[in-house]
Amino acid sequence: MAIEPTKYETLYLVRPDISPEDLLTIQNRVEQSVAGNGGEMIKFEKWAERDLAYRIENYTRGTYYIAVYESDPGAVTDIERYFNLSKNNVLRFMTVKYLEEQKPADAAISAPPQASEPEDQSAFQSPPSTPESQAEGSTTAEQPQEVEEQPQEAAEQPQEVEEQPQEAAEQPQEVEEQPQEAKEQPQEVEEQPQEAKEQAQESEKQTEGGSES
Amino acid sequence: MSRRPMGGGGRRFYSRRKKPRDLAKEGKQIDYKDTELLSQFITERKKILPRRNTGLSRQEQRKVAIAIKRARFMALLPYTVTHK
Repeated sequence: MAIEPTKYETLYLVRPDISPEDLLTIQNRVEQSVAGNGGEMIKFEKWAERDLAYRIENYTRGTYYIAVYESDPGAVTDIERYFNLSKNNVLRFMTVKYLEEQKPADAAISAPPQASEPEDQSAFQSPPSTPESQAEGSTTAEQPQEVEEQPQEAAEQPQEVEEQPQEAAEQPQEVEEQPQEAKEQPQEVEEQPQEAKEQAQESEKQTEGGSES
Repeated sequence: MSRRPMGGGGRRFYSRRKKPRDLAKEGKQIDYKDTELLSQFITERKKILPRRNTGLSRQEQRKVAIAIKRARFMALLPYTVTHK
């Protein structure tokens, strides 16, 4: 029963003070296993020597070796059985399917389905960068806009003019700048009630006229 | 009653905003050996970030999560900051 040969990648970690002979033995053993299962070595190299993210058997450093080969799964079980037996030298090992180098064309093909997400971004996101730092900034930035909007509303709806200073006074805890705005607001508001009153009177007249008729 | 948008009402919640990210578009493959890339998707305390924060697609988030777990096993990434 023929099994399709697959490309595998085995990464294994050996202790830092391993003897060169043992290292060679392991390498030979890997190559033998691959050859014995009718496979083919594609790559064998020392990948990195680096500090471990956590201690393994009291080692804080280790050397990683990587073997890429194409064979049927028998080689994998063979190699892993050997690694399990040589646990004092091989601290960790992992075999995964070899990740082929991705061609740019593949990226382009897989890209279009994601195209809908940027729309979400524009809809959701008002601060363009570093949302945390701008989170405070955005509240302060929004407040002036409200202030600009309010005069219009104040002109339209005289009753609300009284409410707004209160709200401004309620919010000073959020941002230090706001009390200033709050102080500024009443000044603006003071100007407007005259207009607002005029309009209100006009509207009252209209309503009176409407009620009379 | 008032139709004014209440200032700050919807923005009080702390949230790291989601910036959609597409690793395939960036030409990056999700490989468990690429710790530099993977460490972008873990928190300060080395937990895997949820998708709402990474902004990855469902498929890529899954690949990233698996890659992080593999990297952890190989001691390329820590499981936690309080390793004995």
